[in-house]
Amino acid sequence: MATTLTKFSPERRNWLRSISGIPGTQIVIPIVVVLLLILALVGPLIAPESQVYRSDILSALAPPSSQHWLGTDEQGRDVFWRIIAGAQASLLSAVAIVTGFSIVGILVATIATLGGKWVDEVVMRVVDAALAFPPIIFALGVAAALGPSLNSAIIAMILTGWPVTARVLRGVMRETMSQAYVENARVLGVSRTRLMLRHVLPNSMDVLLVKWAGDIGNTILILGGLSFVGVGAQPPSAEWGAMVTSAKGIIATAPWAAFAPGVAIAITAVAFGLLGDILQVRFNPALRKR
Amino acid sequence: MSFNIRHFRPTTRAAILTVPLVASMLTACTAGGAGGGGGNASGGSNAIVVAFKHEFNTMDPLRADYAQTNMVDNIVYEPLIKFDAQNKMVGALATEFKVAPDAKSIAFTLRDGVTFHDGTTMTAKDVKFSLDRYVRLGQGIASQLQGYDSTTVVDDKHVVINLKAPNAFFINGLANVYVMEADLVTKNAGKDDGQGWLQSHEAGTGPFVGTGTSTADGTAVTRYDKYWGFDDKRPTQMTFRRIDESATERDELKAGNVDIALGISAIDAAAIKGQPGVDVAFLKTSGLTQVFFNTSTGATADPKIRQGLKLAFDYAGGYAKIENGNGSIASGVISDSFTCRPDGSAPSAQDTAQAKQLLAGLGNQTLELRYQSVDSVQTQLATLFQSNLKDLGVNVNLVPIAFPDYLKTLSSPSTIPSMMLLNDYIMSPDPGAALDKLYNSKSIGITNKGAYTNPKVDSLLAQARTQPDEAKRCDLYKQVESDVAADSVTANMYQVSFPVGYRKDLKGITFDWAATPMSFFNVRVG
Repeated sequence: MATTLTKFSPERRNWLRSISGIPGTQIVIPIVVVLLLILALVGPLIAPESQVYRSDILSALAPPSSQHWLGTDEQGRDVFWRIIAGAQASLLSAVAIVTGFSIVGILVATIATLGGKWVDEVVMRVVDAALAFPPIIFALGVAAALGPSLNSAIIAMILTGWPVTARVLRGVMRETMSQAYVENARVLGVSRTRLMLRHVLPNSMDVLLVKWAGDIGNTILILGGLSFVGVGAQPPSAEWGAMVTSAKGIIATAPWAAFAPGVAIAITAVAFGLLGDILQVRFNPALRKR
Repeated sequence: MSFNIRHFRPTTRAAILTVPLVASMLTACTAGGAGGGGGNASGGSNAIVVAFKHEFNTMDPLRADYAQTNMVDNIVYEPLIKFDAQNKMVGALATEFKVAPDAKSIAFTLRDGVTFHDGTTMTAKDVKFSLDRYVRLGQGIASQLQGYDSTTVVDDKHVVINLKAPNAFFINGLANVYVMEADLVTKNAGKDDGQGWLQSHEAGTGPFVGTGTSTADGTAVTRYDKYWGFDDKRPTQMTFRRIDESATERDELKAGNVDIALGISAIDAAAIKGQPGVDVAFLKTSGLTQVFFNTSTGATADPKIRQGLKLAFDYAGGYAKIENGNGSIASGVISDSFTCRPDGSAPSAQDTAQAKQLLAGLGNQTLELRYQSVDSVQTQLATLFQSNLKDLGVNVNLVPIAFPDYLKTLSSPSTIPSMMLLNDYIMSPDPGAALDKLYNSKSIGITNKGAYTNPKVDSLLAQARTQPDEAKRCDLYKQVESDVAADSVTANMYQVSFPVGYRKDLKGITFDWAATPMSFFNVRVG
């Protein structure tokens, strides 16, 4: 296994360089991410509500034109403006989900790291049990209990996302705890809580940040998937996954209605995924040296 | 010339490797779609494959009120009577039937030479057993037997159904009440009166025999060659295969893997039209797309609010763009497939000015519209209604609900949704039983979908129940329909027209009262 890793590492290095090693390309990714975040914040404010939510049924399924750049959907609503307005529901929901399960993951990892051997054992077995829940199946259960909505999807994904973060972070924290400067601080009589808050947690955050960025992309895809199976955002929401869902029946006759939000999901997922890779290179001296 | 992928940059290599990977995944998906259901259809074959939507719960005729169950049961089982193409009541297992002058009993003479699929002769004992079982279990098709008292077996070929009170509606409801073999069901009754066994087995007399292979995704039946009305033009086998996606049904029909597609959308139906070897029929059914208002509790208890809501919907726009111009805009509380309709019924129309005036009384209340999200047309109609009301300053939340869950809400007026969008079908050409179930206050908590109470309507229905003269009964129905329409119990949207894609050499793709939208009893090959 070790041989295999050594063999493929140079290729990974080349790949990272080809994608993000060139300064110009590397800069594009954070710019796209920032633009997407800005869009998520201001999108609903700049998109005319009448174009986003109001049915103009007699204009339904109009192809792209100067009046409707990306065409209209089956209710006659402008696809372009719906994508702009829907960025908030799609992106900020993903940010909220990842932030939510990251916070839970940090708390659990901290308890496991600080609590001693037995607490660590118990907490990690709970994490193992929680890891067994597939997010989509769990979301279907939550939707059955709370009713299908974007909030149900967010709750379900927070409840299923934290164990991975907890497990990864707990490993990193334990490694950080064994560092010489932490040992020195401990010898100097620094309390465990202070040790955790001032030394261990800040020095483990780089891993979390890399994971956070990567998780945004995955979460957008899963959120879109949940909307696609009908347990996420409901009409007339402009959430991108819900837009793809409502257009799936007309994909042969009006492909723009599904294609445009699909591309928006793909761009966002790729941008955040690549941002995670860039951050990984930035925070990991070993990768940077290569 | 040799091709070595290692000569390329890693990113190019990844792209080159991705192409066959994606292609193989797509091929796998396509292959799975084509063969997944075990379809064996091909042009001219006598064994046909039928694609349908939604779960196939059971074959038990107790649940023949579910369209999927009835789709199969109406060719595996038979009722005592049925309706012909001219809406005339004719015998099925019965050759003669006579309603007593006091309308309190109905005498039937049973057909000679009818055998169940295991060869046992059908007798009056089987009729009694079947009716008693439905009433005993009290679910599903038992709602067709309201007022049933008992069955008297006169002899093997003669049976009398006794009613608790005079009821002229009763006999119409028997068209979907199937007769099963008493001994076979009793033998396999278990602890649930045969419900478990009948889920995948059958005990009928119909032209097709169940193969005992039912799952939630469908079933298969083979032709019964000892059927009393045997016709060798009937398919030798029918495989019912669940396909929920309209586009998949369309492609499977075009590929020849499916012979009849029941679940295609109007848009996909238009795409099939003109394709070689296949055709599309838009079957005008007895159903209406309607919004039922809760007339008992909440904001919709006010008739003015209901009228305002009714006038807010863009019927013409929805008809042109969502219904794709198929069917028609509804013009009353029952479908125009019926003859007993008030004279001069006009199609529903939007009047935003009057609607706004009437809805002013709502204030800031947010309403809830329930709909079945599995039906894309209903989702579109609900979204349009929501937008129309938003234009008038009324906020509506759309909340999906599964049909079985909706049926549970009918148990109490307080749980009935304030607005429920659905396709409502009436199963017999005489609308009396349906009007009685939907609008009689005695049906509140059971089948009255709006918890509607109107003493005048109750009185008219009571008169109709004891009126043996069909024409006079029809006049009473018209008055009921007018009163219900005036009270805005429902927003009547569209006459349901059902697109059915089919192999061109198949005959009998027509509307039939026996099943929605069509009965496979009529299907012939060639």
